[in-house]
Amino acid sequence: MQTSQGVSPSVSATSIWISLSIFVLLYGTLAVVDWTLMVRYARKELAPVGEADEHDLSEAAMAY
Amino acid sequence: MGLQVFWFIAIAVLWTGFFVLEGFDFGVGMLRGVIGRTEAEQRVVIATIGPVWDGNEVWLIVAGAGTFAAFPSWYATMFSALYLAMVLLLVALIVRGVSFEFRSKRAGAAWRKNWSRLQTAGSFLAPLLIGIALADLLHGLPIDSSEEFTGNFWDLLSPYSVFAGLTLVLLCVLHGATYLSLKTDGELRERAHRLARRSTVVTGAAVLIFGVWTQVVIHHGAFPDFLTVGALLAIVASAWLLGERREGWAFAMTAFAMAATVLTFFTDLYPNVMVSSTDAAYNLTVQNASSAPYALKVMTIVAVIFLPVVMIYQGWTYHVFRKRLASPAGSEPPPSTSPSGSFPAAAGGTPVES
Repeated sequence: MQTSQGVSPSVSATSIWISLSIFVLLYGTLAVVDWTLMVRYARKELAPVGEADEHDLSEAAMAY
Repeated sequence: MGLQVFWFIAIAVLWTGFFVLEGFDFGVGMLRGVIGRTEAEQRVVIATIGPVWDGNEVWLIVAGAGTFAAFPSWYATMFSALYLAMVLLLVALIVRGVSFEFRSKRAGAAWRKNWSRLQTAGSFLAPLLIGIALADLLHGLPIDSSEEFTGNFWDLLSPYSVFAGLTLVLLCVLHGATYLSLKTDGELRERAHRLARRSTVVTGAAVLIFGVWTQVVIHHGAFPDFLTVGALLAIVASAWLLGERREGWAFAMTAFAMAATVLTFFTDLYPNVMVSSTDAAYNLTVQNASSAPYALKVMTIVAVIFLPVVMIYQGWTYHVFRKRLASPAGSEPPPSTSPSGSFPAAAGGTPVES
């Protein structure tokens, strides 16, 4: 069976272009946002070692 | 009972389980800004579903995968017909899922506001679109003799289907508000409690109309079937139980109302799986859309072994996170930069009490 035989007759090429564009834009945007966040967090100074435990606990209690 | 019937029931149960579980977290997602007025309160609201929403969502994937494996023709016709609607649904689920994780990753007011909006919109759109999709199966779509969808996007949006979607949205609001009254304390609990009781009226009316309309659509007269009657009784019971402050039982009732309403789609759909509005002879049925007996047999063995395992560990998650979450006592959320003026109460939406 070839790829051309597996195409859905009822899904138009326009629909495929629409969905492909939406997902490329959506995941592209999310990738940029995620990368920016990671860079921000990576640049943040770490808390001093002694306070780390307490800090972690308070963060976990309000994780969302 | 043949394996085809067994798998039809299994898929109905998966969709029902999905809405009973994910229904309340859709509701919580929609109500975050209404129940939680301060930023700290909104975070408590999100935390009530934080540990469970993603597990709940897996039921949707299993329902889709079960359809794919047990009824490939149903899956092929349905997913092609609903192509653009499914894309919208995926976008709604993706931004909603990401919003839970990203919303508190930065302290800026604009950042939170954007993610809050996406969360509310995604939580509203997802049940609406799924409701429309399920109603379309029953209401009928233009399908030709070779099981191909011949309509366009607008054929999906019949008045009945849109109303069915809105009914599910309202059930999610009631279910979510009841869940919040069960899982929070103090002022949050009071607000959730009031909102849940008020929404019983609108939700009950919508379920009744939906039940009658469904019977009209399938030409069974105009009397709602026993599932709709059960759902209505459960909604009335939940209003009463909320008044008695028995939130656990009220939540059981809203879960029952949700289950009965979703099951209505499937009991009234059987033995069809997709109705053709072109010609009843082209209907996809449990018989003509299913996989071969050997495939069904293998799937049945796998499902009978693993489904209970999955349900046990999901149940365990609920057991671990069973306690109520306290309202924040006017404290600001801990993360790093917390400018106290930057989370305006206005973000919480309009007040609930009148």
